[in-house]
Amino acid sequence: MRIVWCCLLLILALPAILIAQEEGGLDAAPAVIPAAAKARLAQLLPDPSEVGAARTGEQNFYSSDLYQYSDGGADVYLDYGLVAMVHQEYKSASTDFTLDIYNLGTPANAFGIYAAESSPDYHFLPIGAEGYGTNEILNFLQDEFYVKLSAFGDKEKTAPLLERFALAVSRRIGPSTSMPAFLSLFPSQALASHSCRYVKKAPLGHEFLAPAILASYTLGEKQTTLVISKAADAAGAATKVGTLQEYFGRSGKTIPVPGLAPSAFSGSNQFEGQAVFFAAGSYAILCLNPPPQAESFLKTVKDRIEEKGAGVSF
Amino acid sequence: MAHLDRRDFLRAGITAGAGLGISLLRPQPLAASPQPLALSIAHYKSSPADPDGIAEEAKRLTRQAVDALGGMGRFVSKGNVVWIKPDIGWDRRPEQAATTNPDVVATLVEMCYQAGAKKVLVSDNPCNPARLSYPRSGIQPAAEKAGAEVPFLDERKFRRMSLNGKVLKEWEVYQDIVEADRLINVPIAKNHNLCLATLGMKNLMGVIGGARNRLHQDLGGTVADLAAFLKPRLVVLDAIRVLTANGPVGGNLADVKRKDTLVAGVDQVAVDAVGATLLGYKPESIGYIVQGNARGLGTMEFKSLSPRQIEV
Repeated sequence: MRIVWCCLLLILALPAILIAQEEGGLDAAPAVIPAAAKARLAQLLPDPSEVGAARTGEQNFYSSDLYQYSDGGADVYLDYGLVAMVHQEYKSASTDFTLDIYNLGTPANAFGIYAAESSPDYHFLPIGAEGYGTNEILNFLQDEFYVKLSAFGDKEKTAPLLERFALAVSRRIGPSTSMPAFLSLFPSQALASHSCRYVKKAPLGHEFLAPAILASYTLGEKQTTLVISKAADAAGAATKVGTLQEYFGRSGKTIPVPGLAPSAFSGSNQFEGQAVFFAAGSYAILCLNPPPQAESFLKTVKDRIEEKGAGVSF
Repeated sequence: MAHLDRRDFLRAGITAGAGLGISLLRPQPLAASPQPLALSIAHYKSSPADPDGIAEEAKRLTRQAVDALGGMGRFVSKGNVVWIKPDIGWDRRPEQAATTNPDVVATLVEMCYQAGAKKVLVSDNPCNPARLSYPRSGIQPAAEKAGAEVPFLDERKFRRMSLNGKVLKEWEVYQDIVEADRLINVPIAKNHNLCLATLGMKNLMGVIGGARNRLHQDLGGTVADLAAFLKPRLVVLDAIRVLTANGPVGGNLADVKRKDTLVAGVDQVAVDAVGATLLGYKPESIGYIVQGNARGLGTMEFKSLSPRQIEV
């Protein structure tokens, strides 16, 4: 009878407990991290002998609760599909290190956050697929992982220590050093260095274009932006092109460009300026601020996508 | 020169004397009481690269910006307990511009004591472990050297309080900060990848606990609610080094730019509006500035306050 009463009380109290958890100030249920992901991340932490520094403090794992570690900085990682992250500190006689390894689930997602946080003027390094660094930080991308290292010590000496650390982690991740395959969709001629991006949410403010990859081209004096938006199939790509046509038609005007593709249009408005857009297989292509001889450039883009697009996903 | 005879001289003298007498007898209008200055913007003419030079810059900018408002005595009274709230959120060095310049904080501590403060505390509820961010930011050693207490926040002292905000009705706020006699908010101007920029009002999130990520649903509203609740007596915005990308955490020195500017003010919306422009953003593009302005917490038309612009 006592058990029945206890259960009844618990059932009655449960809504209050749940509501209280929803109120501000009370901690929500801890994030659930898949055991395999946690084990894999733990495996990537170098041994002290590899890096000349001892581990200090506990390993801390995060996933949907990443905000506890990086507050407002967490959301973008969650947008890029964060599976889990491990934080570990190390200490040598001269230097304190912080190692954060993010598992983003796919190489595309890892590239997305890596590219979002990097800039063409960074000092890039051949670590993993690619990295960048200073005397105090070294971040690199490899497979589905984005690795971020910080070092605090004698600034004249930390850069090689960071590199040693990064290489130790890279070896544990594995032998692959390739960038995501979808980058091959971009013609290489005149491609602005380190301008490629992978955007999962509202590329250029248009949710219907998600997901998309973007890159900049410098052709003559013009800076051209190329957006390659993935659809489920050719019909989906045609729908996206139709939406672009509606959008440019509402805010400006559109003109067919039959010489480029049956579904190709040029458009212009006061927000985006000049644009050309068309479908190629299961991709919708948008070119902003098209270069001189745009048709020739865009035919190259179209041919490349028709050649390589089928085997690529993002 | 024309010859001036005695008669002309006397005529001129009498005329002048009559004019002077009339002006002395005419009732003088009362001089309008000057409005106390709400905003000052201090800019350093040079941009020193060495640590000592930057430290000197920070000290001089801080003193001049606050002195332009009337000095610390306008904000701190004898016997006050003052809480200084910098950004100590991240395990970063000062030059990485993710945390407030430590010499700005230390100078404010000194000024508070010179104004008669009984006790000055410097603290934050950081995102990275406090045992790392407090010393690494340089704020703990600098503030302690200036005579401040620099406590880690005690989880047990977060109390559920009624904010009666438009978004936040209740939230956990650090009791000791609310109970202090004076609150001085000392943010650093930074890019923020969620809300474009973190400035003074956003910096106030460091006095609350709980699941702060939930506030991201309506950051503009919740930050404005906090600003309305806490109403710092003085805001001093560090824009000596600003983080222009990958905020709020930063890390890469390539993302740090020198602005060599310090903004001080009693209007927290105006201070943030200046900060937004220093980062290259329009104030109206930042949600909590717009909301703060709309709710009358201050004005984002900061020029309307006739700020004192100081070249140091």
